[in-house]
Amino acid sequence: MAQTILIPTDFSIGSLQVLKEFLNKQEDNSKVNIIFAAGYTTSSSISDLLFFSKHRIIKTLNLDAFDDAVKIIENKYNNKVNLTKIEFFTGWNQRSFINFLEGNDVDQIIYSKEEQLKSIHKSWFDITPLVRKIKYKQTAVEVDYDIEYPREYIALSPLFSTRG
Amino acid sequence: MKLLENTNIRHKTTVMFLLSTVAIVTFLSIVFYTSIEKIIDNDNDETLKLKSDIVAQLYLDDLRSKTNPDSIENNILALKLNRELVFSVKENHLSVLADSLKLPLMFLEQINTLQNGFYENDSLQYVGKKYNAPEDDFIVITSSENYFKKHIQKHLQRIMVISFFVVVFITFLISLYLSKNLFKPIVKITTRVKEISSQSLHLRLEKEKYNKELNQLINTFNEMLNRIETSFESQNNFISNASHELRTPLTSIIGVADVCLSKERQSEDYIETLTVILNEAEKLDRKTKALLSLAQTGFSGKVLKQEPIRIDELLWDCIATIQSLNQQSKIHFDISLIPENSAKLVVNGNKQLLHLAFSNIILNGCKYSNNELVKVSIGATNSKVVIIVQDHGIGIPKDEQQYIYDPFYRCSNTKKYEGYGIGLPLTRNIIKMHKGSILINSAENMGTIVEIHLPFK
Repeated sequence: MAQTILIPTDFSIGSLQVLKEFLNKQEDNSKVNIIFAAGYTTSSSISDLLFFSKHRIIKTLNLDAFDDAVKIIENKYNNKVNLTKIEFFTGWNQRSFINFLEGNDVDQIIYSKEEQLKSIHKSWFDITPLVRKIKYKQTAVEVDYDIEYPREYIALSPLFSTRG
Repeated sequence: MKLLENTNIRHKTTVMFLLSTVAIVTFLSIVFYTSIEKIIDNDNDETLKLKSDIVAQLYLDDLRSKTNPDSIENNILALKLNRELVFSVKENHLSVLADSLKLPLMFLEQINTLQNGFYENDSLQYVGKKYNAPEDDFIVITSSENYFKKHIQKHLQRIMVISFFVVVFITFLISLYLSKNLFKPIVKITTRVKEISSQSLHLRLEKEKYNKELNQLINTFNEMLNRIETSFESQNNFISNASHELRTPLTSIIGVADVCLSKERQSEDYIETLTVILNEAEKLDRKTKALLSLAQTGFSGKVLKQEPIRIDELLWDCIATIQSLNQQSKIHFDISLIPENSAKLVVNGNKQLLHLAFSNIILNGCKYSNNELVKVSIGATNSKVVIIVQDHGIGIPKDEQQYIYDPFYRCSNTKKYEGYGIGLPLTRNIIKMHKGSILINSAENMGTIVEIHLPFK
């Protein structure tokens, strides 16, 4: 049975370091499903609710570089990664977040110890504070950057800019 | 034929549109006219038959109440005035009757044998019907004026002719307007393309509003212009590159030979001089070969000689070459994200050119960071290989980053480093030839990151 891990993300390339670190440290060869989760505020209008589409949101966020970076990691850890997908959490409180985790069969949450996620879109919100509050199996990963660069959404270089 | 060759597409469309409309209108008119005629005729026919039935009934009633029916002559008169006629059938009478009624004999015989008959002349229509009553066999002929011919035909024809010409006229106007507007953007494109000469290759066509097909054409044009611009630039690069690169060894050869020949010398001196000359000549030879291969593959319009290349091997190769050239250089090849499946590292390309491109980038990293560590990383998505070269060198000033691909451009902070400003444009051209892209991210005094994407194809 593949383990499912959830990673809070702001879709920056640097935020994928967490996944890279995690897969690096994972020793056993069991497969993992990876869910990249981002908070997304929906308006309360009925039409927005009716026409809510994950694919359209992904499209507006323009995640080509992010996809490329995920593919690079997938290709590297071919025998560890079962599948990757993106999910949006649209709730507000801890209870709904736990529901979201249970609904997606999340076994473990991985997030960066010190790095702060930053907004890319007006509807995006950080779910790491929620993760920290709830009692759910979680691991904070330390990422050691080689060069500190501004948050990058186009270039893939932050993926490669760790020591070692 | 000459006339046809000279007509432009505008007139052709006008004529085509006009002809097709005329054809459709003609067809519709014919169908309409004939069907109207048919409907009215049928209707008339039915009325006449009904009339015959009534007359026959009246006649039979008459026959039963009176013993002596009216004479035939009276009945004929009745036809002329009231347009109906009843007479009993006697074979020999038919021809006489036909004569007196001015009806063809054929018509009467037809009624007699087939029970039914129809005849029409210019003004009148006749319907005949034969009844077999127990008292008498008799024929009823009713007639009416040809309603269609008399009242409708002329009117209809006039309406049709007028509307036909009106339609043709309107279509003509519409087609003129359409063809004029339809081809306006094309004319615009033509004039705009004419403006673009070899001196103004940076110009691009503007997009049209609400015109998808034309925008595709414009996009294609713009893409073509991009390619032409690149190849123009490369051509210029090539010439300047060649002259610069070839001059250095030549200068030293000339200098050394000149000094040597200024007076008579020992044989060791000659050997030394000749060695220098040989070295320089070999350098010259290498450069010429490189330039020649560049010229052959890139600019002569020939297809790029391509073979499958494993990019990681090529990078090892580049690093080995650079380290043999410059022992002090420190290069770290980071394979932490190299894909497990090595098939994802194979790119179709020209080995020499890609070698040149990667060496250029890595050498630049070493040179402008005073031989500090340069990190070369590799990774692969499902469609391309990503190569990233990071150094901790002097970087590129922010406001000069837009010029780095210009041939001979050298940044303000590179004064103490040797170079011609040719490596980067050359590299970009090579990457572009392989349909890849190159991205440079740099901060002054922090370092530079070069990111190269090479699609598998």
